[in-house]
Amino acid sequence: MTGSTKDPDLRQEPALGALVADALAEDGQLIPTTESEVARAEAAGVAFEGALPEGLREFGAASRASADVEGRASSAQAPSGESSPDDEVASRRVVPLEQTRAAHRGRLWLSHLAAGVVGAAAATTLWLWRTEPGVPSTGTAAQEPVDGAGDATRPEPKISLARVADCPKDCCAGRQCASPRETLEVCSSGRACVACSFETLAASRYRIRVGPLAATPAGDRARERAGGSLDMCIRVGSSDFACVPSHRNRDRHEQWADLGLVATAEDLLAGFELELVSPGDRTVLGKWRQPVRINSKLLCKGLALKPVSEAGEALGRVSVFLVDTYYVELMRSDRVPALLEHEKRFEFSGLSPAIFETTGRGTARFALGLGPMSQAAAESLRWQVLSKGGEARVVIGADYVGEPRHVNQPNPAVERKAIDE
Amino acid sequence: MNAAPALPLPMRDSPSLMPRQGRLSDAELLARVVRAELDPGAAHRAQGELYARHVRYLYGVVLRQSQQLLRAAGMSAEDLVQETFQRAFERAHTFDPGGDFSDERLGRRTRAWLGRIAERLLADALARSREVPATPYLERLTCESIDEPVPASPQLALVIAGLRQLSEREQDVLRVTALYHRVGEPHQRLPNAVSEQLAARWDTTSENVRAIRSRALKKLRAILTAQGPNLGEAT
Repeated sequence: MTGSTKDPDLRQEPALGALVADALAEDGQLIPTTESEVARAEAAGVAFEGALPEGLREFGAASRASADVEGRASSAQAPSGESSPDDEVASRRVVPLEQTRAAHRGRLWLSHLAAGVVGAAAATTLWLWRTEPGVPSTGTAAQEPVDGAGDATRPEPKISLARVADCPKDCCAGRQCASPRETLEVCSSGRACVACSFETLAASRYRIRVGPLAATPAGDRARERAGGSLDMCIRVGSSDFACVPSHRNRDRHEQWADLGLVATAEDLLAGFELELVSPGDRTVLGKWRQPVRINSKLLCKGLALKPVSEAGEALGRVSVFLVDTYYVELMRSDRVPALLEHEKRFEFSGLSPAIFETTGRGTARFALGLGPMSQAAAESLRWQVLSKGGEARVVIGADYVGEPRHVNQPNPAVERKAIDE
Repeated sequence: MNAAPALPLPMRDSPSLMPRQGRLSDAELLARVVRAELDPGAAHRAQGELYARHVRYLYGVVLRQSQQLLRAAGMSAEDLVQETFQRAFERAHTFDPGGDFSDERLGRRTRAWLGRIAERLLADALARSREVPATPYLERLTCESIDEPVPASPQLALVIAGLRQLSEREQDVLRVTALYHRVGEPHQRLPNAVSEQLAARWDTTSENVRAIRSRALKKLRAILTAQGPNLGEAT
């Protein structure tokens, strides 16, 4: 190694390194990141002129259907020579990469199915229609196609589904845990059982549930200066901030708010950040930021965030819980009655199916599902359905909106049994 | 992070820019994307328009990148372009229009900003030892120095010529090092995962990767010095 700083060559390495970076950018080997680099690239005619590859056409093609459905046209005009008319039409709505890949996987799956099973053409068409491009995807990597509406003329045996007992032997917290750690017998998060293993806990994703700000006198003063209210803006890892009012009127709001953030253990470790923000001018009045390592205590007791002002004054305390966010989705439809009909194909034990409204359009607008639950429980339940000839997928409910409508009045006998367990 | 419906509140607003002669500027379109919560339809249309304006440029510049680098990052050029637009729309609030510039200049600024996102995605992907969603480099995305002129250094052309004289392995190591130099590692300390990946790619050790880089820089310096007494001292 020639790592000695006494080496004059290496003392100048940063300057030479910068020159190399500039040279590589100049040579087109690095992506232009300044206006002048862009200007040079444009002058060199770097813009791709051929037919865009399938992946990029697909990126926009997914939007074509939705744009047509919406009947909306862009009022803005693209500069001439920058995009083809196809691009303009095709790119009205951009969809996430994961969604595009999922759709692509779905189409590949379809191709194989269609090639191999001639008689299944009708079913294939139905599924193609059901998985229309452009519909927001909320599935996990494990997601699979959800069955169509089912053939109403064909009597089918009912599929029995039972609640999954998901308290492992190596648990550490919760009232269902046989040997919880000291102080973790009862969880303020409401969890009945929390595993010990980091690997188990880190395998799931979690939604962020946040309580109101318990303000210190300094926090109250900050709130008064901000006109009587503050926003709490939270992000994990590299997510965008999601904001809720720091003080919620008991008459008008739930005291706890579930943010539209779904975090992994890695996100939490990258940093959990809270900002107290003035709603008017968006001035940040206080902050809290720390990497958070997921463990059984965190899931049981939650997290106490204590934002401080720039001057170091403590502004208050905010409780945060990580809640389960996995659902087993049995079907999607544009009509609630179709989901209610589909629900009759199942017998539920200790489970309460619900209909969720989503931000999806068309056949994706409503979902029949079960949850939320842990990832392990959701996967186990999904396999119950699959092994009995049904179709289901695990999702994280990222596009669910509002309160779900529970389909069944719970069977008291079943509920009692579940409680006794 | 999963794509959750965490629409930003209208915070950290971009300056309000008026439409010019019926054509919205990139800054105005991005401002509409930021305000998705207030008008999702307008935000979606703005996304589509931005995509249409810049997809061919971005795909073109990404195609010029080392395919070896993209492969190491586990991405195709198409993947990187798609992901860049997706992240750009998620982070539209980080775009700083800078001033009341012409549409042409705003377009270049947008492309430079998209380039920064793409470069950081590449850096994050290379630094990732396994599939995790954390994107520390992307998180530090800013428009700082985006209008900095390219140094008109006489050394630049010499360095380009010198780079072509290096072995493929040396070029690869310097290219990866330069990537991190640009996305926020001015002292050229490669993340361990990247160094290990480079080492694996060239069937050597991380220590030897550092030695390769050092030798390559010495060769470049020698090339510069041979051209004239003042050219060997990069400032």
